[in-house]
Amino acid sequence: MRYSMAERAITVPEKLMTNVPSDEDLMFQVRDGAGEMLGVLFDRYQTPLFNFYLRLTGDRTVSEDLVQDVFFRILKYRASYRDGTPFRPWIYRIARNARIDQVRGRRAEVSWEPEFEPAVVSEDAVQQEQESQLLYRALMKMPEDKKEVLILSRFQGLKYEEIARLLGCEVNTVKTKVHRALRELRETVHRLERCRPSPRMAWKSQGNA
Amino acid sequence: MTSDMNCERIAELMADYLAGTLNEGESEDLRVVERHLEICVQCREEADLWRKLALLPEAQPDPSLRSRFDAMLEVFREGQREGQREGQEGHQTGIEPGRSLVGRREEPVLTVLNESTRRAEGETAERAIKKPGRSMGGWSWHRSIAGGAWAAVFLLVGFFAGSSTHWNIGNKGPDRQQELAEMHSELRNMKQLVVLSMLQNQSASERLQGVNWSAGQDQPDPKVLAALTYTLRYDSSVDVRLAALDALSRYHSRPEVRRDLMDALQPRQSPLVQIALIDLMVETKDKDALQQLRKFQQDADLNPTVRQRVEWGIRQLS
Repeated sequence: MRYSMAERAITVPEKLMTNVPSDEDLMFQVRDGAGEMLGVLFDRYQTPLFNFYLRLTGDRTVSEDLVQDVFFRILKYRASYRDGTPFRPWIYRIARNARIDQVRGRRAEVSWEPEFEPAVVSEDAVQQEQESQLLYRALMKMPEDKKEVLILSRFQGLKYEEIARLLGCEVNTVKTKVHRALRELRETVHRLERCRPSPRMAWKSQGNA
Repeated sequence: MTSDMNCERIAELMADYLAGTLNEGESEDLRVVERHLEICVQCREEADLWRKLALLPEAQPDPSLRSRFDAMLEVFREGQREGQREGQEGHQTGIEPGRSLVGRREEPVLTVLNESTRRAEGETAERAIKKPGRSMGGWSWHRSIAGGAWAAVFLLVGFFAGSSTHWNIGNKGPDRQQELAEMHSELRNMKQLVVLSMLQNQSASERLQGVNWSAGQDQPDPKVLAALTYTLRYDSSVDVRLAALDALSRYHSRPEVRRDLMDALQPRQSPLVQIALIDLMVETKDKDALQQLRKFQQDADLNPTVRQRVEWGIRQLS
C-alpha cells in the first residue's frame, strides 16, 4: 500500500514563489532598510507560525505572543541575515529560540506546574470529525521535544536536512525521531481510544449542551 | 527477528517514504518499505496517522495579532525615518537605518509597543466578554465555578438591593442591619471567589478578565492581592502581567502592595513589565524604590532600554 505524499504541507511561499518576490528577497530588503516589506513576510508566516506554536503549546494566547516575538526578533536581528541563507529554516530557528527563551523564563519561576501538557482542546480544532479531534488530543498529550520534529516536518514543510541543522543533529537522527514520535502518537491515540469517552470530554459535552 | 527490530531498522527509510522522497531511483528502498508495511500493522497505522495529520484543521490567529504587528512596524519605521532625518541633518551620521529598535531610540519603541500591547489586552478582554466560548478553555471546572459564582453574585446583589430599599422605608431593626452586614460580607466573599477562580483559569483572556474584575473591589481581600501579585510575577502572558500591574497599582497606598510591586522588579521579567514597574515607582515618588532600583541596576544582563529607564528613574528619585 502506498499513500500519496503529495499532501505534504505546502506553505504559502511555495505557491507564490513563481510570480512574487521570494522570502529571501523580501528579507534582504528588510535587512537593507525596507522594514515595510516585513509585512509581506508576516502575511506569509503568521498562520504557519501560529499553528506551529499552537500545536506545540495548545495555547492560543501564548502562540500569538510568540508570533509577535518572532517578528520583533527579526527586526532586531535583521542585520544577521546573510546571503544564501534559506529564509524558512532561518525564521524557524528564531521561532524555536523564542519558545526556548520563554520556557526557560517560566521554568525558572514556576517549578511546580506540570509544563506544557495542555489538557484543554482548542476550539479551533474541535471539529465534527471525531478522528481529527482524537488525533489533536493525542498530539497535545505529547511532550514538546518529542512532537517538534513531527510538527516541523509534517506541518511546517521543513526538510529533514533543514530540521537537522535547526536541532543541531544528524539527518538520520531526525528521521529516527520522526519514526519514534509517530510511534508515540499511535500509542497515545490507542490509549485515548481505550478510555473514551473520558470524564473530561463527557463533562465538556454536558457543559456545552 | 522481531517485528520491532525490523521497524527500527527501516525507521530512516520509513521517514523518507513518509516525506515522499523515496523516488523511483531508490525503488529497492521503496519496495522494502512497502513489503514491511504489508506485514507490520504498527508501521501501517503510523503511516496512516502521518496521512491523517494533514487533515488536522489549521487555526487562524486572531486579527488583533496583525494590529499588534502593524503597531510594532509603524514604530520601527518611524524610528527609521527619524534616524534618516537626523542623518541628513548631520547630527547622527553613520547610524544604520532602523537601528532604532536595538539602539538609541529603543525607549520610545518599547513605550509604544507597551501601549500597543495594552491595546491588544483591551481587545482580548473585550473578546472574552463578547465571545466567552472562543477562548481555549472550552469547559473547565474554573469556568463552572466562575459561572456558578457569577449567578450567586447577581442573586445576592438583587436580594441586597431589594433589602436595602426595604430597609430605607423604615425597618431599622438591629436584626435587619446584621442581616445586611452578613449579606454584604457574603457578597464580597463570593466576588473574591470569582476573581480567584478566574485568575487560575487556563485561558489568558479569562485570567485577564479576572484581573480586570478584581480592580473593582474597594477592599481587596489579601488572597486576591496575593493572587494578583503571583499573576504579575509568573503569568505566562505579558498582557495579563501588565493588567495585574495596573490592578495592583490602584492599591499602591498599602505598604504590603508597595513592597510586592518592588519585589516584582526582577531580571527575568519581561522588559515591558520592568519598564512599567519603574515608571510606577517614579510616578508614585516612592523613596524606598531608590534602593531597589540601584540593586536592580547591578544586573549585568539588563536590557539596554530597561537600563536607561532605571538610570532615569534613579535620577528622578534621587
